[in-house]
Amino acid sequence: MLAHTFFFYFFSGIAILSSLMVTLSRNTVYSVFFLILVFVSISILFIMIGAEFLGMIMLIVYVGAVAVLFLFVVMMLNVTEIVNKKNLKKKIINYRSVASLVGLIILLEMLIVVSGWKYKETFSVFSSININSEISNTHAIGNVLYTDYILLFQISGMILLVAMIGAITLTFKKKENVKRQKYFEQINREKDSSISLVEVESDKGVKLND
Amino acid sequence: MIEVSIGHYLTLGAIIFTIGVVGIFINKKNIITILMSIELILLAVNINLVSFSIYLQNITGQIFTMFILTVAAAEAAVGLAIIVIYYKNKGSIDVEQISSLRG
Repeated sequence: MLAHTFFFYFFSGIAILSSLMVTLSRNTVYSVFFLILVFVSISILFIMIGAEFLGMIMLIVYVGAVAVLFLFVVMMLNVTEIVNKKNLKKKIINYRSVASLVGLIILLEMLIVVSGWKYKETFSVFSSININSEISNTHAIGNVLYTDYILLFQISGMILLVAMIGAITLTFKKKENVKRQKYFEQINREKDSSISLVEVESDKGVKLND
Repeated sequence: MIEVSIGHYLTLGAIIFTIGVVGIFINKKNIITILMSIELILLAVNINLVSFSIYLQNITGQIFTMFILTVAAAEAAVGLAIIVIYYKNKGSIDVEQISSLRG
């Protein structure tokens, strides 16, 4: 139990500090690195409390895909060095008061929710799907994900497909001077539109019009 | 204090959520940091779901965390594609200067 406490405070401290650095850092590349640090420490916490499959998935999806995507975009856009203009700084200070107010309110609301936890006896476990301690976490998720939640699983697959198509169509650029396949025109070609018979006079030759 | 209970995990989620929300407000420099703050918010939601799932011994929270992961990945992909195409057109992603829609 003592080890659990120590690891919880260690990793959650790292997560909080680096999520502060994500928002406060001037350099966008540093922000991405701190984002990776947040995800890694949170996934370690997940593994520690017994959700090991989700911890691994978070490492793969966030650190392996999302953070690398962020890094690629930062690299492509050349926005690492942001020039801070003087008129911008004033506006940031204005936003800071509003932002701290909103943040404080949200934090207070959630503290109230946490302090209401003494009524936990009125909470009830209202699902028949319980965690079985004999099978592993991955096994338990797999048992439920492909049976009870198959519809949601397939819908999330559709969301990924739509996001992929959207990202491709947004960034797709039609290039000049590149021959592309035109499927319908190619299939619809008829004999009389592609072949023409020409009477050739002797000693004259034929002039083709392209 | 020594015994780590669900309250600790919920507090951690609340702190990270708050940092994400404040980060959206104070980052007027570039929009990529705003997208990263949104990722932080989704992460805080995931912490809440997983800790409740472990506490209540109910696997449903972990299933929904996976769906949140899916939506977060899709959102990051589409958002970054929009940023790339905007940068190609305008040459800047300063949030203060994005006012074509008169918003």
